[in-house]
Amino acid sequence: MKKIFLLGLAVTLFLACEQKAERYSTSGPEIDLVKGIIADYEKGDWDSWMEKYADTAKVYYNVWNDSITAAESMEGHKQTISRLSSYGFGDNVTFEKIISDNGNTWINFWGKWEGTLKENNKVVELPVHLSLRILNGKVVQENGFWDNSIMQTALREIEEMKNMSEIEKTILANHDKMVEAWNSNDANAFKALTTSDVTRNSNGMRQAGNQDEYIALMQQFHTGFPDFKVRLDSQFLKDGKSYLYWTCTGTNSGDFMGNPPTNKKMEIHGFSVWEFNSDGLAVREDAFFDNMDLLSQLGYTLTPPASN
Amino acid sequence: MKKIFLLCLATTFMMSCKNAEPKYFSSSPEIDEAKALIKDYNAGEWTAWLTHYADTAKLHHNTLEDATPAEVLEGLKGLLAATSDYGFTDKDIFYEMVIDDKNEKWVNFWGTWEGTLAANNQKLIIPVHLTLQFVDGKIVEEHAYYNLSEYVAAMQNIEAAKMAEEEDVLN
Repeated sequence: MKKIFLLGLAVTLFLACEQKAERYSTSGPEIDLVKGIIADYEKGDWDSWMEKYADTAKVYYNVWNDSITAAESMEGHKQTISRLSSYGFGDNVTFEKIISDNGNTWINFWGKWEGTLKENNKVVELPVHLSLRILNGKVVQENGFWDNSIMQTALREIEEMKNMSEIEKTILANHDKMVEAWNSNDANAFKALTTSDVTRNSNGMRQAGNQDEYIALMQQFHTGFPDFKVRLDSQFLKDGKSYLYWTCTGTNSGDFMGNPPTNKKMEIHGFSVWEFNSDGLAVREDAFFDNMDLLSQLGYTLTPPASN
Repeated sequence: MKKIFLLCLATTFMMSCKNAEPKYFSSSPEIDEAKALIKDYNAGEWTAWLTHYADTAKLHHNTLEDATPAEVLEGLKGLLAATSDYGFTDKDIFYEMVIDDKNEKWVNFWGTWEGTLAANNQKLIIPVHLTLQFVDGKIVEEHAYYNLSEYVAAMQNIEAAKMAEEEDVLN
């Protein structure tokens, strides 16, 4: 009798355990099915992709109502992919299977989608979440969440680029080259992008009146901050002038403007207006940034004037 | 001997049962915390909203880059500045919590954001997914997924209409 009791206990416990554990898991045939969908999508194997959806599957991308069919979803994917030279989710993806309170099986997926646009080689990165309900080995519902405005903005940039004049295209390309020249402290690259009498004003004060003086200024930053880097946060172009928001970073491990290194890091944000000649060469920069902020980050302090 | 074997078997199952603690929850203190976060967001109670996050929390709204709660708050305020009303509705809203294989507690949220743009009374409905990792009752990591296409397009239309109006005044 005791034996039967103990055996019964063991079986009950075993079943209870199984029941509790299986509402959440990270493996199983349903997860393999969704992994297969992702793999088919990345390969462009649409026959295999379609087989994984039930005929009546409802797909909701960034909406709760107005579902589309799997076939319509596939057409949408194909249309996006036609503008890309490469696309897919990397290895950094998460899958989980859950059984909801009403007994439905859902696979949740989180991943980083990356696509390169054919026309300008721009890489678009989108965090994506998918939630798929699986029934009898097929997807019966798919809900997708991501910010489509990121792709739309990238596509709009391509359209704007097409409508640009040649000189505007040159100036835009020169922005990137200028950033590269600054970051690599490349005097020759800088000379190729500017006129010999290029000037630079910082906060309204003349800092450089020709190429050599400007190059000396770049050198000053690279001596003071050997890891000096600048990046463009945003850029606008209007009537031959460009308006650039930028961020500079670096560690003050060298002499800076005659002062010994502080070994402190700096990050400053600034704004520059560049003017160009008809060949797209830069003739003038007016840079604005908070010099006091820079010096404070390095540990310099401000002393109030002595009172009378 | 058999008895001992059966006893051992039962003990083993009990032990393994302990290991297989529930990993899926439709209610938990963390879910309550997430509900409070949504409530504070709806009410614009930003001081209270911030208290749900750990100081070192990393937030990712439609991006892979890290942002602090304060930075995301500024971004949200920027988006909401254009609205006359906004909030998550009571329908199409769902919370769950899982304890994953790394023993991390994640609350998943699916909801519907509704808002009206002040400039033209346009109504926007945006499905939102949040996944929130909790440690000691605070959010330490947040990933948010929502489509801003309609919002961006509406703001561009409003801007274009404003510029056209200004041109009319000048002419």
